Amino acid sequence: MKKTTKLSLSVVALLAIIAASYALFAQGSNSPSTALPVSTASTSSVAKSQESTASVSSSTGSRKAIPSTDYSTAKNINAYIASLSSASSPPGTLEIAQAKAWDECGSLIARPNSGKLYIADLQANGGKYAEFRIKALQQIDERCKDFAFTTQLKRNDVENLYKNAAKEGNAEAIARNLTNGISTTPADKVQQEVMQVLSANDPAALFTAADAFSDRGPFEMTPGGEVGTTNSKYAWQLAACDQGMDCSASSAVVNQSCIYMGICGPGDYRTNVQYSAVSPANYQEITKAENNINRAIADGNVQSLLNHK
Amino acid sequence: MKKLIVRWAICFLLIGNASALGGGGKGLSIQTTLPIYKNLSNVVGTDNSSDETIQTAGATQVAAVYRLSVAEGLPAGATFRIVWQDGSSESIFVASTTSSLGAVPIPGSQKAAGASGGSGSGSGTGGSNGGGSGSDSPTQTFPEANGSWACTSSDSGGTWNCTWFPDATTGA
Repeated sequence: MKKTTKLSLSVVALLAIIAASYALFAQGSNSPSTALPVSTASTSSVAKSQESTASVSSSTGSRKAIPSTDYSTAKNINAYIASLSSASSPPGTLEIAQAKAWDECGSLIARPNSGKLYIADLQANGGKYAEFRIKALQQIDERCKDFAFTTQLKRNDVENLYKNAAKEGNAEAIARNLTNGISTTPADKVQQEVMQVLSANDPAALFTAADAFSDRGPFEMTPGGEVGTTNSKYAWQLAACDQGMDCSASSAVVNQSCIYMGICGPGDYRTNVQYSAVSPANYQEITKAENNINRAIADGNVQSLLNHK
Repeated sequence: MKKLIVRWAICFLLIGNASALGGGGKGLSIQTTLPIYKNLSNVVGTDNSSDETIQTAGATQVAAVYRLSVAEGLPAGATFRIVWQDGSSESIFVASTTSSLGAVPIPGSQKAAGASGGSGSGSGTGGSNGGGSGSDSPTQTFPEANGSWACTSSDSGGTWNCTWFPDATTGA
């Protein structure tokens, strides 16, 4: 009996040593040497996203891009939110998921059948980018139906959710608050909060903050157009996609950009920006700026791009 | 008390922004009786006394369809005037361009059907605030995928006469 116990302990100890070695090996193979990839327009954005996600995790240790990715890919937002309620998730995750759901599903909260009516109208009468808008509306309708029919949230509640998430340090909430009606946000506040967002290494927050880097933000135009031009916003958004934001063809950001901003097309966010938002010449400028932003992020000197007006 | 102060501050901010950017006769005014807006699911049956969420959803749909025609139109921080299908109108503040409830009615800006005021009807399609080609011409053009609508306002109540010009004939 004693021999059996000793044998069991030895086996457990051996397994623990193997597990520890494996963990150390895995960590080692991921870390410092894996620099953030610098984007090139010819590389597939999906591949880039995967590479970037891995390196973002390795360079920041505990940071995970999971909340925004899960929100974006959830087939049923209500179920996703329920799963957050029952699990321990990073600070602000539940609040921002609820607030984002309200932002995405609001049209159905107002009128539950509005999505289906809108789709029927587009199917009957067509319109610009009708096929892409129909697809986006169908996906939003499917994701939102349970949430829209059950939520009791009102605008003030949602603003409070964003505020609370921002207070808890959620970078995406900070980014949302500073770009919400950006022209009314004091310039010094924008600058301060932009720095907070950039230091969080959160791709979804970077995407949301992109407006602050456009010509409407508080920063001077840079010679490379990374900051301060109309196109700068796209450069930062695409950089966010490179850093791990879910910008795939069926992602929440692609659907919402198509419905509300007219950035529609047959593919991921990058494809659609090219398809519907910018000229080929502008896209070239955007990718150059995007590469510089990615490089600055990798080198840890993004602040060098940001000079106050 | 603190909440009340914050709410009032938001109201002042919105109204101040509206008068600075959307006031006078030069601001963007959108008639929801136009063909591209008239069937929108949150616009049909909505007026300036509807539930606020419905007004917001309707105004957001209108802003979204406007952006299909005018690239970079109605960015966050912009304002525009919306004339609902019953002729009532109100000013709208664009808080967000990605939210389905991103275009918010400005408190106190509501006008009854037939009332004059606000930022003027048919006074252009944008200008520096909303993007697009601001104009005082009574005829406005609204580009679509395969052509454009040329519309003329026939009265102050929001009735428009529109003619469809396919791309092949536009500008001919």
